[in-house]
Amino acid sequence: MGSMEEAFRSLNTAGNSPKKEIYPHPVFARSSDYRIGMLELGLRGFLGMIFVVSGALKVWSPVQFQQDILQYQLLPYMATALLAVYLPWLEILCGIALLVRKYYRGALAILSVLMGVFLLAYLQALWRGIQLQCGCFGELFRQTPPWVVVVRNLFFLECLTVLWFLLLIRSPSKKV
Amino acid sequence: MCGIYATVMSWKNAQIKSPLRFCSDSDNYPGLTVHAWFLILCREAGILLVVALLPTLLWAVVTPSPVRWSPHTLLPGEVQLDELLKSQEQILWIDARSEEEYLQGHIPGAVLLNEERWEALFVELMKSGKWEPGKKVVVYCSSLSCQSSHLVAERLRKQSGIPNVFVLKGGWEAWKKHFGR
Repeated sequence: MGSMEEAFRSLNTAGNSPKKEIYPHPVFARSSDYRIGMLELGLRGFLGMIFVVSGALKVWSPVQFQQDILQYQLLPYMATALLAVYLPWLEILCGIALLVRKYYRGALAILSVLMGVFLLAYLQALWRGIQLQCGCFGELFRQTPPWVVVVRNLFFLECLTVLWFLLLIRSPSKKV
Repeated sequence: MCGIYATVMSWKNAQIKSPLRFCSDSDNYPGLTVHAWFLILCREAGILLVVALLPTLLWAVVTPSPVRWSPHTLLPGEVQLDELLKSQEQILWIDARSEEEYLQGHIPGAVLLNEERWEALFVELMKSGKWEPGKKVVVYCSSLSCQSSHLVAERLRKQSGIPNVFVLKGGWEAWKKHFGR
């Protein structure tokens, strides 16, 4: 917001009309940082809340989550039990890391891997003709059609990809 | 898609031309090599993976509904086939699989009742008179990992008020294994 105030101040002192095109302004051009920052903030908040909530819902029903993992018919029984207790807490922790922007890179990496692996597992289950429910949000939204699950998870993956991209291109101006 | 467009437009307007050129920022500071950046990423991910173990271990102990660590553990409402056959009581078998699977083979005397055609099949079941008070109702689906039997059993308990509704552990696979089919 400081850069925007400076921009308007410089406009007034220069006697420029407010309607004059001020872009690219030497200070205002840095509003790309502001836009990048707001975009990142929005995406982090959205994804962070999604993962915290979905993890919390799965924490409360570990037996159901274990049954959901068993449906995929990919892992041994003991592995499904371990994942059923561990994955929800990992999800919550990574969601909080996204929200507070601590261990941010690690959280992004873990969530990207989790989403990618889940999507692959879901698609292979559909391809094998296994009738299953996502189990992504515990007891909620269990009757979601498969195409909705795929589109939803592709959307989350896209959001994560955008966050990765924003992480890599942060310009040297002020933080937002 | 809007996010990708906004990102691309922001990138075009930003001072950096290449994503590999790191700039002064808390994430990317001058002198930070790709190798070091990757090491930091691995360190952060490792810390998160390890820290997540703490609440996991605690929750595994205190949770009111613990997971099954062995496939032989019964969930509430589940019964083993051996016990049912030993008890020799009258059972109404409910098949919760699809109609195709039912027609390919089912437990003798089983009635089809699945979620896809619940309304029609439920009415048929109630009208058929196959259930009598005191008769045990056991629902099964294809295998141990199948969820349909639990869903049908739950729905049957709520909708019909029948108290003795159970789920066959292992489903149709357990039956075939027992009778060698």
